[in-house]
Parts: sequence; C-alpha cells; structure tokens
Amino acid sequence: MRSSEETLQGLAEVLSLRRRVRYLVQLFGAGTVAVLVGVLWWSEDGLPVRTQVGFAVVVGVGLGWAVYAGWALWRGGRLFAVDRVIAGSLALGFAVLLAAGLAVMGLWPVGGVVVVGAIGFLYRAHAVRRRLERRYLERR
Amino acid sequence: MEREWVGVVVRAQVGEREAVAELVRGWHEAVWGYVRRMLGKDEVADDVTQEVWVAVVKGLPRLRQPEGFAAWLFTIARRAVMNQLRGQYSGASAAGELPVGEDLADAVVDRVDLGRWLDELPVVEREVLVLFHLEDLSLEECGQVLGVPVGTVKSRLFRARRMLRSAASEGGG
Repeated sequence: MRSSEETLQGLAEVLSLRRRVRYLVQLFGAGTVAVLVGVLWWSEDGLPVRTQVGFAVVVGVGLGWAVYAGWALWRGGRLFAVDRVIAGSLALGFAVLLAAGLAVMGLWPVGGVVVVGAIGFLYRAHAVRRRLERRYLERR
Repeated sequence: MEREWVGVVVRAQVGEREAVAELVRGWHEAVWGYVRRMLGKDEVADDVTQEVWVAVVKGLPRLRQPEGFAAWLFTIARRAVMNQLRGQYSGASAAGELPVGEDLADAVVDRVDLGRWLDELPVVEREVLVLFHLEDLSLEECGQVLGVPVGTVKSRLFRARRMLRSAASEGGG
C-alpha cells in the first residue's frame, strides 16, 4: 500500500500555491497586455503594415498565454478561499493597470467597469473566506 | 462523521495546506481499503486512490456541507472504482426492497471473516458490505455514496450478508 506521505507527494503539484499564483499572474498579465495592445491597434489609424503585424503578434501571443494559464488553472480545480483572495488582489492590481492604460487612450469608462468587476470579485472572495473562518470558529 | 473532521475540512477549504494533509493522513487508509476491496489488486488500488485524492483536492472548495465529507469522499472513490470496473458493473441489477435481518450471522460478518469471503461476492454486494461494515459509514451515508435510497441499501446489505453466509458455509468457514 502506498503510504499517505507518498500520496501527499503526488498531490504537491495540484496543491502548490506558488504554481497557482504563477498562472494567475500569467493570466492577468498576458490578458492585460493583449487588451491594451489590441485597443491601441484598433484605435490608431494609418499604422504601417510592419507595426500592425507586430501588434498582431503581441496580441496573439498574449491571448495564447492567457488562455493557457486559464486552462491550467481550470484543470487544477476550484481555488481555496485564501487562493481566491490572492486571485482577487492580483485581478484588482492588473485591472488598475489596465484601466490606467485605457484612460490614456480615452476609454476610462471601460477601465472603470473592469476595476469595479475586480473589486466585486475580491469582495466576494473575502466574504467566502470570512464565512468559512467563522464556521470553523463556531465549531471549536 | 466525527465532529473534529468537520473543522479540518473547513480549514482545508480555507486553503490551509496542512489541513489537507491531515485529511489525507486520516482517511487514506479507509479510501485505499475500499478501493482495494473493490478492485482486488494493490497496485491498481494505489493508482486509483491517488486519482481519488487529486479529485478530492480539486473539488474540496466546492463541498457545501463539510459534515458530509465522508459520504462525498467515498462517492468520489466509488466513481473512480466504477470507471475501472465499467462494463463489468453495468450488468449488475438493482436490489428489491427486502428487510434487513437482525439475526445475521454476526460471526460471519465479523471483520476478519468478512475480509476473507468478500472477494467472492459480486461487486454490488461487496461494495455495500465494505462501506457499511469496514468503513463504518451509516446507512444514510452508504445511500449517498451509492446514489440509492436507504431502503435499497438495507436490501443490498441483507442480500450481501446472505451471500456471505452461504459463501462461508460452502467454503467451510
């Protein structure tokens, strides 16, 4: 019989917080870059073909990375409450960056919606964590 | 399920990795025992049990009732076992509503004897005996794991014990 410690070793990857944070940063970072470059490409008229090809490559690679990170996170199962709070904080950080970039391009309402969405996600993550912690304390 | 485990399950849902480790240490043997009894081979049981724990870690944040952890855990284990047994299990018929006899041959249903004759039973009957007698799940929890009403669990137990008694008497046990 494989021991419980050996079984735990087999779970190291799926339990790894570092791995989850890495994919979250990849998801939000690559997504932010892809959206900013994409909006820039869409909003600028008369760009040379070379520049357009460059933008297309950046958007394509960014979306590819974001999709891969999202898929890896999805395969890893639901996030624990603490992990969701971390995900919410990262989402808010990248949302602020994205909103700043969009504001420079005159699209501050879109950036505002993204930031409000990220705040909502973070608030909900905190609420889930508090509910579980309260439940644990009630049981002690 | 014992009260202390509910706290560990909630801590694990919060994201405390040590609580997840506690769950694995506390329930690994029970899960492995169930899987081993159902599949018959140590190596296969090792792999399937690992698969069960991966599914448990992935799904744990979604578990709404920590009190139902044992039933939920064995439901996942059962699913993994059934994936292995697919085909063989599909021919098994559902049991009728028979009463559970109180005058069971307790000597036969003793854990040691149970283990001795269990492998001779069909999957459906073996499974209910393992869950109820070896894993100490309640009738309600067995029902949740097996996805059948408590009455069906009782009738399966009744039939399984009768088959076990017959196997033991034929085998000279």
